[in-house]
Amino acid sequence: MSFPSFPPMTASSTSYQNTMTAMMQPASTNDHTLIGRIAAQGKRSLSLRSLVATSDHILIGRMFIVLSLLCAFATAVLGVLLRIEHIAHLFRLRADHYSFMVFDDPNNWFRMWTLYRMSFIFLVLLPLLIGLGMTIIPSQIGADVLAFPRAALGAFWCWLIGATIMVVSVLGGGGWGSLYHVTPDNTDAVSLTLLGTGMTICGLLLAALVIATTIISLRETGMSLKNVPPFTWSMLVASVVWLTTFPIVIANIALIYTGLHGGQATSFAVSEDENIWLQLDWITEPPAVYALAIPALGIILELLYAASGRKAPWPTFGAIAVGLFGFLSIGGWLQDFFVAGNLTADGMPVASDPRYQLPYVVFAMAIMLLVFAFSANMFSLPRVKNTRTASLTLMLVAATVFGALRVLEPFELLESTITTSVFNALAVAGIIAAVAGICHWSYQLFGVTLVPEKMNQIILILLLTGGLCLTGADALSGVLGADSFVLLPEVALDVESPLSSQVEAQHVSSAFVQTFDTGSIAAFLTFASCLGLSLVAAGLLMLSIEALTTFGRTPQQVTAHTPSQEMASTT
Amino acid sequence: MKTTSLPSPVPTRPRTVLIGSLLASSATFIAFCSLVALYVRHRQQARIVGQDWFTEGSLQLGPASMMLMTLLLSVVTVQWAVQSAKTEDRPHQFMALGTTLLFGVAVLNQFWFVYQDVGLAIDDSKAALFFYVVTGAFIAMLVVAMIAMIIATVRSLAGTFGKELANIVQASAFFWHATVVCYALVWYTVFVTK
Repeated sequence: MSFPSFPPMTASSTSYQNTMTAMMQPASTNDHTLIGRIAAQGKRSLSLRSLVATSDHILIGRMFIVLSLLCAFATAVLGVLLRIEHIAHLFRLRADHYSFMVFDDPNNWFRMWTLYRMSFIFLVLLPLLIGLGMTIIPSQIGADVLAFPRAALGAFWCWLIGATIMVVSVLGGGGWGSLYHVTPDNTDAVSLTLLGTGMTICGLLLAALVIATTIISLRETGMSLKNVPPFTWSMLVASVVWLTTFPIVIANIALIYTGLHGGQATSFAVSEDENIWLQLDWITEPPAVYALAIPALGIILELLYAASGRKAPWPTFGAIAVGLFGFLSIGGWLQDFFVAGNLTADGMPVASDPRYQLPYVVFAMAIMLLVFAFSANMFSLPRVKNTRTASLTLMLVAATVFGALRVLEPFELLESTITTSVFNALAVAGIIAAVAGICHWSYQLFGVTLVPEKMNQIILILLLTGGLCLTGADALSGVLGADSFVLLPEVALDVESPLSSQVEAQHVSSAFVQTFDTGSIAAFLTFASCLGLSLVAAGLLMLSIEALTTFGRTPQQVTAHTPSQEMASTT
Repeated sequence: MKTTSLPSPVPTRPRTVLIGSLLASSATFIAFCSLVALYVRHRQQARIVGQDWFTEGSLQLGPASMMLMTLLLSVVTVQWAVQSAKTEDRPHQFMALGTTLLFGVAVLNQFWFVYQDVGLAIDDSKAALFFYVVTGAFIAMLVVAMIAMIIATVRSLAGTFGKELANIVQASAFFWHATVVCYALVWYTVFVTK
């Protein structure tokens, strides 16, 4: 016998009991409880007008989730294409043939390489977790609505329009810089990409602001911040970290945009390089990239609490671990512009300084301690929840351990593909967290059990296997000496390029080829990572289809699947 | 009846608009600090290689200091508006909000004068680019703060009174204070240390 997922027993016991009571009763039209509102919303039917003008936080959250899941699938497919190109390149090296198979020229490849990273952050992980937060948090803290419901809707549309502009402009020849000079031909497209990125970030920041304000000021009377459920706490920490990190990106974008149109070269890196990407890539690297995974920690704790049926032995410990994780992921200070070329008093690069390395080691330790503290509970959990928690924890541990290895001096992996591995591990961990959250809270989100248990298992296995394959292959490549900027270099060298990336590309190429001896191991590892990403894409496709189908359900179907009926059918 | 047996008062939650304003102000302040940090770093690099950042005498401290004084005065009038909203003193509230807006317009006017006086084109040098980006960001922030003040005034004119209006005025005032702090940063980094 299997039971549908219910909200966890948390500190918000009053609202929890209300929600449980509401769930066990058939929905009626004048029912103001959670399920009643979902049913009522369904009865109104999802017209375009309701999507444009709604102030229902559940619907706004659902829109964020469904669209970001579709973006996740598209991004994973893009990643697979990039890897296929890389494999093709590695094989063609032997034949001295430098043409591109999937993308026409190196600049296109570079544009897609950057789009893959930016898309995972701004079109997938952040909106997915924000959507989950918008839907779940009010019910967890006993609030009826979000703090600024119209601002939440505005945030969604700002994000959607910005994201569309961003993707279309990149496909139209824009992007975050160029391997060559940003020429007058593509200045407009690059400007449009920057505008789209700015709009996307503004939308996400507004959503984060709404969530943080809701948690701070709309909690149930008597519920202190100490007593809020772990997911709510993690979203508060994450929102504050995002609000202190992403404005720095907007400032950089404003400067780059003005520079592009002012006629003065946009040279922000120490090397006086005009590559815009060099000024923005810090958000895809540790520690800033860890900020994307903060809500995942909250979801882990929620799953553990719900599955064990009791509160954790040291709830404050979990809250401190999440807070520490958030604090250490503030990464604006680590822009290339500020740290590259800086030397310590001993003449060593700043990156080799133990003080620089400490936060990463602390990251790994915080996660390890978290895992250790709750591992005793894990063995007694039901199978499904154990799989969710274990896969999520495993990906997060992989990300933090690789992050720590990356900066420890004896290994010298700072500029290797282990950086990509950390990014991918966190991206997959964030997606698994969202999947676990969506399945766990599917009643609040969709009014039904979104994914049947068997399919849920398959999706999780696909994501976990794919994630481990992807990150493991990248990490191993890094250990064997592959550089993080694994461009398709010989092709780039054929073209007149003023960029220092070209010099870097030459270096990467030689290092890559020498280390892997004509690319046979490199090809194998790249194939492994490609396979991993394909598995992730397959998992995302299954989940996207389920979410999309449920989003468009007719009211009768939604109301027909009340929790009591679901329980009866599963018993 | 003993007072100790009375139920404890219902805890008051922090005000929603004020919390939202606080978070928005913090995010804007961080973006601004980031711009100023980039400005300082570029200036430092230019000086290390022996380049002039701004040519001697191109930036005058006088008008910039006058703007700072104007904004410091506006801090007082903003708090006057907050106090008036709390005590529901309508005439004083209108007067305080109006004076604050006037100070805001005066700063915009002074900035226009500074731009005319400096006479730099945005593509003259890297220093000019940074100058216009940093001061332009401040002007954008000031305009947003003024719009918030106008909204508070309009709500007041429309007859909204009581705690809700006091919260709106207080939230607008918080953003205004953040704007003044940002200008103090600009004044020191751009106009004093040049």
